[in-house]
Amino acid sequence: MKNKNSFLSTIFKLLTTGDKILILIFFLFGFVSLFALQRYQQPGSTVLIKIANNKIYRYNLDKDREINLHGPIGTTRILIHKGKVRVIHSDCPQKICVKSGWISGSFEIIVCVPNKIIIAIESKNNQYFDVITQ
Amino acid sequence: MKKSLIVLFLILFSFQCQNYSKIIPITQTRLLMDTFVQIVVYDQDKSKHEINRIIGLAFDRIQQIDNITNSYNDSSLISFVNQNGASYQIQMDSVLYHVVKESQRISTLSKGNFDITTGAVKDLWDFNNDNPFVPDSTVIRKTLKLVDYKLLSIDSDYLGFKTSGMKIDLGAIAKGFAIDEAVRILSVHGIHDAMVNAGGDLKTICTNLTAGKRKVWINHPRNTGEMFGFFRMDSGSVATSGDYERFFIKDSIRYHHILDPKTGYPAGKCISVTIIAKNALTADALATAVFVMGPEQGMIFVENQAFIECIILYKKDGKLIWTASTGIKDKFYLAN
Repeated sequence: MKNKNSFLSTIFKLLTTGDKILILIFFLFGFVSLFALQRYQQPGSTVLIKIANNKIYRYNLDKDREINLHGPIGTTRILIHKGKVRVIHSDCPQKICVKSGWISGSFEIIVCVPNKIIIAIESKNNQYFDVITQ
Repeated sequence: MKKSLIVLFLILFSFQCQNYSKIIPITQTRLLMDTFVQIVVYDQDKSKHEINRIIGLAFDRIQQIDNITNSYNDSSLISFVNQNGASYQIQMDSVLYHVVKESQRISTLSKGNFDITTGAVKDLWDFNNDNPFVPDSTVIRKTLKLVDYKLLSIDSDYLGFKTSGMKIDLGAIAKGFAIDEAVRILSVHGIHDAMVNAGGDLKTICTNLTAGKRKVWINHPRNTGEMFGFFRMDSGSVATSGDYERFFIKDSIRYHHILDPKTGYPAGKCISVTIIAKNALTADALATAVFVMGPEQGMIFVENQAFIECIILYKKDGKLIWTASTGIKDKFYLAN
């Protein structure tokens, strides 16, 4: 304990007033940017749509809208609503994509294999490491 | 001098913190093997262009495996075997040899609860039909004579059937092998922090960059869009077989696509089985095998295997409950 205190006081003695102000500025900057980054990253999520492995479309997840997508067997209609997305109509036979329901996390995906459509969410939040097994 | 060293240390430290929180993975998703395949690369030491090129090579390998093993594709090698395997021996391909050989190993290990020769019975059920129906019980019984992995004639050069009418279905194992191969391609090209996810079956490799960050969530088998629970995993493979993937309901009975090779009917004891293993091929095949065995027999089986863990969801007295093997029990958390 004594050693630790003497070590800290040695460091403290080494610092000039300018150094101390600089350190304070660093801490303040770090603290402010932590919140600023969180605010900045939360929107930014996009709905990525891929048709037949080549055409790629991106839509803002925060803007409500309905979109008609045209795949090899017909139309797939998707709805973006309150930061979530789902398929509301599909010309495919089994409607697995419609039954998939809403997705909103960056690791969630809706797929329509017959109509060759992938709907995924891209965002930069920490959930990007997560994955769903099913 | 000392003062400037301290300031320099503080500056470097603040940069270090920033880099740590800024991992921007490179992701590509494609439709392959009748599902989506997503490759995510977290490595930071290569250019975006180079990483995308390597991901492309991994997808090429998956496509190659799909072209050989997909029995829904009429021009695949396995379709050719299914059409002609009883008439003459088909020259073996290295991918097919590996997958069939591994299938045989898992069939023996699981005492026939996993069997790739269920193809003929699967055709009767035809889960991809717009109006699926329950096949006639006598037809199922008759077709069951064609389901037996011991009736495959296999060596390193040729593959054939000992009885005519047999069919191989690699749907419960080929995807796992494709995931293993995609990860191998990534590793060979110097990528060491990545994930390959094929329709919910997956394999991850990890460095300090993403260690401790990943949760693997198990889908809720009855409430669409909800999660049942999660566990943390850095490196390894996970596969899940569930009765909610492909099914139809007739007279209030759920008929799903995981068939018991001994009865020809959907295996009814489990709702969802998640297997954690070193490689995805094993996880994929054992998820089906343990599903067929049921929660009690399946758990005994898993506890007797090294490096295999499982989480089983099933119904008891109308209630959805879960059980897990010793190695994962304390690491599995329910959602909410």
